[in-house]
Amino acid sequence: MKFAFYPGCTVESEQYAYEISAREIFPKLGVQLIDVEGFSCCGYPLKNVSVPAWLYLSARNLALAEKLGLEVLPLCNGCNLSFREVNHYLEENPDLKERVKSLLAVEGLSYTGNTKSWHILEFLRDIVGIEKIRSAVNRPLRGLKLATHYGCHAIRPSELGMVDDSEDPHILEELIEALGAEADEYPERLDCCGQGLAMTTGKTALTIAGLKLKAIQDRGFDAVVTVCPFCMKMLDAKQNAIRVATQQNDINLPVLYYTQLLGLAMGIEAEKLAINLNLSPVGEILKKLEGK
Amino acid sequence: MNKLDTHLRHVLGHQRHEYCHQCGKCSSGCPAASFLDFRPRRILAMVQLGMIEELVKSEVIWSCAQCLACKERCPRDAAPYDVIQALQNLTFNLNLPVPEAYPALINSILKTGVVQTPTKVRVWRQLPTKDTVKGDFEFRDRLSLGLPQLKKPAEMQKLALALQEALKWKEE
Repeated sequence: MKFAFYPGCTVESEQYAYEISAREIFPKLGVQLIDVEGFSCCGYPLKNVSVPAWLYLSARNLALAEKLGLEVLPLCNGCNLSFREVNHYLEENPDLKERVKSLLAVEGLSYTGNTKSWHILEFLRDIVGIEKIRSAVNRPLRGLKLATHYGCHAIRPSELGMVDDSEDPHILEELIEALGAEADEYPERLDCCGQGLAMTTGKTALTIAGLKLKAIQDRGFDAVVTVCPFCMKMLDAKQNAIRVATQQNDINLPVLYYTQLLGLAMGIEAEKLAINLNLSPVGEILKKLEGK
Repeated sequence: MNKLDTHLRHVLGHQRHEYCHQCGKCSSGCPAASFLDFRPRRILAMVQLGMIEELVKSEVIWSCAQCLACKERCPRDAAPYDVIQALQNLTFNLNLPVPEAYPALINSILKTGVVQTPTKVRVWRQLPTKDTVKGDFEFRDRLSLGLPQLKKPAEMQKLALALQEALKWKEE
């Protein structure tokens, strides 16, 4: 099974742990990740100021995958949403589709809109399969109590046919339980991480992230698990800034990508999963797994 | 400002801001509304009253966290998120000030095809725990972490040309 691997700008320029762990686990699960020459930004960051620029950039990447006859596996919630939404938007706006096609012709690319983009959770459920994941577990993560964080763009807007129910998703809980860990639902689990505000009002973004981390910590979870590099940036990398901004000095919680967690359960060494790149206190998870 | 209203309608497609009946579901579920003077319901009301010029000249439209909860939950398909984004697009098209991060993002994509080129990141020599006060780390890049070199667009000038063309599209 071959898929066009699209880590996205944030992953391939700074959130390396996601890319390293994905490259480690997927081949072991029978998935070949193809690096596509010429992939660029998905355009989503420009959607606010220029819908046409966003449409062009997303369609451009989809056209590159289409040329190879491959479906796309992005790692980022935002990139996946962008690809899906652009396919939908251009389908509904044939005039715009023609205009975008004429821009793609500058590079000799063609776009039909038939290239599917997979959300990683949907991919793990429908392409890899939960049974296969369960049977790949060599070291069940027994005793770990994990909080899920989907990220808004994994589940909304449901008009695009997202991975699970937008108000009551269970897929990430199921994927975590398949590894032997517990993933109890909690009231704040669908709350936003605040990252969307980081560009304009940084302190508010940190406050929103802090509230979520504090709630998770107070409910006694061992760690948070996510699949979005932007949420990871807020929840994992910004804990120090959050402590300063919110004056809540006790916020101190491990955060992991699901790909890292899956790798640990498969028995892969922590270093190969780049757990030493997470900035939150991830050593706690390893200690707990080793029974210390 | 009739032209602006036409533009908004074009960007919004099937979604209709005039369907909003001010139920307030958007503002009540909005993560930004709890901390900022930002209320999606108020923005929809202002659009309905034709106060578009006030909105595109105001910083308030840039306080959206883009979580999409309002779009998801709107019982009238008025999609506040889409209305706000259309106002942001309109601001850009009118050459009015937008947050400085956007011109920087555009320049980066025009130059490199991506929003950020690879950086060096912190790598722990020993995994941090809750008691770690100051961990021991080093900075490493993609290659030293065993990641492949990125195969970015070979013909950047063509990408930049097409992107500049797209950025110039305005709704006539």
